[in-house]
Amino acid sequence: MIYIFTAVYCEAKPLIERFALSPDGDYPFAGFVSEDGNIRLVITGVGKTYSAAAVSYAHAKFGITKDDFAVNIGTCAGGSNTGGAYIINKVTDEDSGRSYYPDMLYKTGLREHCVTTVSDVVSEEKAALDPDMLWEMEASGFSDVARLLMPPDRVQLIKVVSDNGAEGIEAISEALLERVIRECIDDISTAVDLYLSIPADGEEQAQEDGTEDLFCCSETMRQDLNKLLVYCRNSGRDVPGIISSMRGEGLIPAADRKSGKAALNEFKRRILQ
Amino acid sequence: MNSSGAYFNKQFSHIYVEKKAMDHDETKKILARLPHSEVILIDHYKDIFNRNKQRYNEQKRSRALILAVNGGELVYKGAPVCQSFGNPGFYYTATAMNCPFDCDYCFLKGMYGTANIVCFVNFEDYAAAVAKLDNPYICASYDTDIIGLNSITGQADKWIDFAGSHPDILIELRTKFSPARLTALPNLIYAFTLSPDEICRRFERGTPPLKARLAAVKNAVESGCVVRLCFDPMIYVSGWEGYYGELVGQVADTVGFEGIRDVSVGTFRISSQYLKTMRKQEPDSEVCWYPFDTVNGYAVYPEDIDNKMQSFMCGRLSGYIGSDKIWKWN
Repeated sequence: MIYIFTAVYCEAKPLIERFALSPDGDYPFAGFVSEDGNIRLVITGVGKTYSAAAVSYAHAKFGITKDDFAVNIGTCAGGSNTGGAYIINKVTDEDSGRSYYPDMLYKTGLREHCVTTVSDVVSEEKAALDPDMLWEMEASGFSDVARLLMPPDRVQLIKVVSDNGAEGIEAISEALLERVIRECIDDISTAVDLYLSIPADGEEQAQEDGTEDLFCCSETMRQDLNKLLVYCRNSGRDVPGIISSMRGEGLIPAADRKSGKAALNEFKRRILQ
Repeated sequence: MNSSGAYFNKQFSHIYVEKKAMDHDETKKILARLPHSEVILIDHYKDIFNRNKQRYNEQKRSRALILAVNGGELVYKGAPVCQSFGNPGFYYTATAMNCPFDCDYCFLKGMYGTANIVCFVNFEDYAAAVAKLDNPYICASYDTDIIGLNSITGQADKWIDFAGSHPDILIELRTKFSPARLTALPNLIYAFTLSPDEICRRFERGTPPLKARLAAVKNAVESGCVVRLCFDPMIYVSGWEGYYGELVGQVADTVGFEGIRDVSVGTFRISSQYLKTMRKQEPDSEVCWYPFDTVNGYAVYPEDIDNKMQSFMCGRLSGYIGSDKIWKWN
């Protein structure tokens, strides 16, 4: 599952159309969801505080897991050497000087770049000082919260250059932001499709229903048994065969905790034979 | 896409370089060996290496390399679960942290929680720290496989050169790899970790197979190098006696034990804390999920199994090499 966070509706609109998202709920941050529920989009509002709050809120509301992706997609100002869509490999917050580094494991096909998050719209003069830098207003807030909640390979950022520094926020029109995202929608879509196709990390437990009841387990015994069953699964041990023979010998089901403990020790002994 | 490899960037597609390491000669050499990698400047290696919630199993498919300057401790006293081979001044050092291989049982997975590899480029500081020690025995490849990484980092070559210019310092380079450079020095030990084919195949992903390791051992012996064989860690699996018995026979047949300085024998053991982390990283591992006993904070095989495995191995080895050359871990 993928959670997309954009700052404003005009940035979200091409994504909403491409992924056929529908409005979803009336929570504080406007939301959209795909028919199959695999893509959610949250509009955070402008600035790192709102961005951070939206990630936190979505995590709590939707129960984002370690296998989901959180992706901040938005526009940015870029130096004269930049243009188009980038996957971000380093986020630096200008105010604090702190940096965040997403894991760059996946072949998205996008070019890479670092980005600096600022508190105000970047002027043309400032952008000219570093022609290789990208500037925007949400990435560090998004990253600061997302990195606490999710693995670094699942926290990703895609930024599209909208301008090379502007004389005030009024110079950046909604139409401009929508247009630049729309121009890169195929590239963005390729990355989103890739994230959706990556299989979830395997879950580890091999609890066999009802087995713990056979040993009249305490909590400690239950944990030991569970670990033992994972070992049996991983090593191909014949648990049903051992259980069956212990049943035949009347060792299980155990009548009480004491005999259960003895039976569990015997179970372990047979497994390790 | 139906192959997981299709999702991932190549190994070392990204190199994170500390700002203070950027102008270092070693950094320039390493970057020149990986000209297509994306280079990202960082303040401190821990900003990448020590991040929360990293996932080994995802990262191992596209490991990042981190180049840094180590301004902290450079040499450590040997750990109690490691073997000193009778050397009183037992130390280890880590010019690199983490390994390019993916062994199920590797303690580094428990220690670091990341698959990314740090290479410290200030070798001269390590050399100075080691040179100050009194008659030391230095293991330089405990927290990595320094020979396995040498084509990228060049650090094994540096330790070999250091050994050449410091004949009073005994250095061990432990590896599962085939060294490209073999230099015969009385104070330089090439220590090869050998495991049965079955263990290599099941639990030592990415490492050279036994046949290649034996060829490397033979080459080292024939080059006049000081060679140690490490049958450590021995892994408990069904049929272990057959596998390990066959391994000793294969060594005897292909290399012989005449040119071997000594051998080590040890069963798998690990800090209980590391094991907890490893079990999270390796949910499907037979090795990690064995129901170990906990003794003084270490997870170990039950005493009877441990004794049986070490006795068996030492018994087999003593048919080929003197008992005074066989070192057990406990």
